[in-house]
Amino acid sequence: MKKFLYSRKAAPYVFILPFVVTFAVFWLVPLIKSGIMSTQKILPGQETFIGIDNFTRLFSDRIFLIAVGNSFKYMIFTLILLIPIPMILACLVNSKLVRGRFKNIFKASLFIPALTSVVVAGTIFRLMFGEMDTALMNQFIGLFGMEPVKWLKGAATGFVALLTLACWRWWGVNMMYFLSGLQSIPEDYYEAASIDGATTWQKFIKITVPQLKPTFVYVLTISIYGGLAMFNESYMLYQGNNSPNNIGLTIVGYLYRQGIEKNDMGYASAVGVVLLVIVLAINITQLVATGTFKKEDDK
Amino acid sequence: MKTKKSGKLAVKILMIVLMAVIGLMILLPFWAIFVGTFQEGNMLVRYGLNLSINLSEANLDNWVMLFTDSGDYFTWFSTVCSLLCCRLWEPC
Repeated sequence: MKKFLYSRKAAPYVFILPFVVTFAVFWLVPLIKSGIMSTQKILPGQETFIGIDNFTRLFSDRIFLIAVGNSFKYMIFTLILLIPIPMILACLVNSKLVRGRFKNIFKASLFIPALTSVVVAGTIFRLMFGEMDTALMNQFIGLFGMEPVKWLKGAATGFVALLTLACWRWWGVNMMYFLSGLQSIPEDYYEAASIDGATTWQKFIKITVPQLKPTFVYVLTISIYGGLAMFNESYMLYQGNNSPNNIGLTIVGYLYRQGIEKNDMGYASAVGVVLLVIVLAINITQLVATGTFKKEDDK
Repeated sequence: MKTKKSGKLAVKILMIVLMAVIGLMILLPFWAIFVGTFQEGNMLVRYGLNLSINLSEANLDNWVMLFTDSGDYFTWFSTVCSLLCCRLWEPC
């Protein structure tokens, strides 16, 4: 046995076995199982095959379409806010104009919210976006002479609260990704550009942006998934899964409502499968468009 | 030459101010939580979190309760420590 395990043929498979087993047990099996469940009507102790009925019902379900719309809106706005701004902040932090302790304090202050639990962050923001004129956000807009707003009751204002929470939690993390990307760009490129007489803007566009492409693609990929799979933030902000007129309902929120609250596991699995297909389709499209799958020689 | 130097200084000051403002805005909720710990829970729900301390209504009840009332703090703290140990052990 020992001889077999130590042989050149078997050893690589032995090394990757823990990953393969974990992947199969915790990822592949649940994925296949939820695919099967999405074609079933599931009652306690009874599973009936119903074909694509769950999917047919899903696409004519008005609430599901609202959830999809909310998730897409959230994803698009988070992409707009969580990619360019952290990239600019990373460039500011990486610049030689600001040095020393101040830079470190700024980095730390931006990263601290990422260490805060979503539950805590959601609760804080719910209280900050309260209805009374004494709540922080109403006090803030009061400085500009505006009337108090019932933030979490309106679709647009509730969405502002969700986006503020997302920015607060993720700006620091994304800034760190971009900062690590910036620090891996060789200084020689900038020196060569300076000798050629390039301006700061030209260096940014011709060197920084292309060199940050792998980081950009990574942040884009996780942001697309994060945006479409958002649930905890909305759940905590609205103190449950029942926002007024479903303004905070997301795809995962709808999955939770059907699967856990209404105990319709088959239908909830269909929601999960649709979410997986949407996320895969968008991410594969953007990865192909950004040339991630191309071989080094083809680029 | 002097104009270029003063322009650079202006950009530097602008950047420092911008970073200070963003950093403070990010840290504001933490200050709001800290201030909130001196108020009663139902007051927080009714009036929301804000940055000012109302000294006439501020008290240390929440802090006293945290470390004395049924010892919940130590229960969850030990749970978190156990989970942390498991997480640190995991890669080994």
